Amino acid sequence: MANKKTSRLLLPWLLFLLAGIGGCETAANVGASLAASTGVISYDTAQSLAKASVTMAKAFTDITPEQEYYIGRAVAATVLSRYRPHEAGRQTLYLNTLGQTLATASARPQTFGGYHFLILDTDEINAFAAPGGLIFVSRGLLRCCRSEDAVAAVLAHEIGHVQQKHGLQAIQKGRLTEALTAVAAAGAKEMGGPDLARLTTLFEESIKDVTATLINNGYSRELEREADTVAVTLLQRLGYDPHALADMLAVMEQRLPPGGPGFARTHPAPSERLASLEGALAAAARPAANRARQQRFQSALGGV
Amino acid sequence: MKKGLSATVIGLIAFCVMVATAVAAARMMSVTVREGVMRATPMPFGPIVATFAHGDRVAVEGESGGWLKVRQLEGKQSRGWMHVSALTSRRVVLRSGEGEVAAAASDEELALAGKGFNRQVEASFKTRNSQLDYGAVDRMEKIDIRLARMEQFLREGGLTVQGGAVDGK
Repeated sequence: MANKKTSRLLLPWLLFLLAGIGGCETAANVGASLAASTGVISYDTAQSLAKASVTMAKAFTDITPEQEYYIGRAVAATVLSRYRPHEAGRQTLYLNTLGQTLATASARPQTFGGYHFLILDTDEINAFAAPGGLIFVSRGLLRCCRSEDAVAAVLAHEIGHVQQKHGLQAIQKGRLTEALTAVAAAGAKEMGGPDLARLTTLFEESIKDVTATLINNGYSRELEREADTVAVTLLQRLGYDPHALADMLAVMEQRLPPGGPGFARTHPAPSERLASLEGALAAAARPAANRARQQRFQSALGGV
Repeated sequence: MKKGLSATVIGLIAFCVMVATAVAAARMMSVTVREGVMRATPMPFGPIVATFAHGDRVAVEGESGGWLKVRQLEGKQSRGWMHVSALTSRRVVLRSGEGEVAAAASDEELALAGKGFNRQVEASFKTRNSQLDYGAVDRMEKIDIRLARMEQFLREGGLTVQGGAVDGK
């Protein structure tokens, strides 16, 4: 009896969590079948719970690209308050040429403000993708790359997080529901003091949700795997060697201090990512190396 | 008898195609990004025909693997392809009157531009968090690589778009 009660209390939370994890409808269906399989509630109740979690999960997909843009800028500004940009014009230009070319070929080529890339001046091995396409890669991570294909793999993984809106999924649904309702209520008139103050607080809290996930906790293994899958597809789409992702992870495995800051804390171990990539890479051909490509990589990032 | 039947079937199919075409022709979408790009081909690096501003409306005439065949409503009425990520089926209300705002509040078909998390909220957020360096973000956003440079980059690196051809052509 006590057990049943606990499951009833836990179920909505479980659904809420599930809604935050994967694509919303799939998560809701998982929730429904999960609820039905516990035997505590009827199939109908499970269905209506599934519907409710779809409504909740709808929130992050309802963020317009313009709102995503402002969220991304604030997240980027927060990242840049913790890390200094690496001011090296030529290296930044190379990274943007490569990154924006990849993004153009991706499944989400257009975001409100476009994709832009910046190197962070730190030995720490790390990378961040702010919603909307502001992407940061550390010098430490670039030093794990032995070819342009490997850098492309790193950037394609981050583009994957933007494409799948992983950052936005970190925002607590309640905040978004309130913010999106406030949007409708505020209307065309200039927002009044209290409305603006409340909306700013919701914005501030949303940014904290995203940066806490990005910088401190990391995404779930599932979302990391999703970003790796996007990366492999994108690399193949442009004729890059998809195995370069595995090459880069192998170097990272050697260099990553266990329990250290950055990637070690926010990402599954490289060996684990390598293992889950095996299937996708087994069938992938390894294109011939290209000398001109290797030369331009060396001359642009050799000294990073 | 058989011939008559197949003629009827063909007629029905033709009718369905016509209806579907008419429905597709009537579909309107709005640009949901700052600069929506229209290309000559449904390809990532297709030549750019025109660019659109946030909120501009286009008529959708066809679809192919993540790309929509669209027609410009004003001016030259150019036709081209836009990626779905640049468009929304909701009508974007940029500068709205009271009536439209009331409608947008209850109507899922409308999206109010510049509302919610917007420039005004960003300004207010900046005031509260003056330690944040938005200048660096602004500089980062200024780096835009032109299409010609991307093509050159691909060519020189021995790279090509794989399996990008759409409609088998």
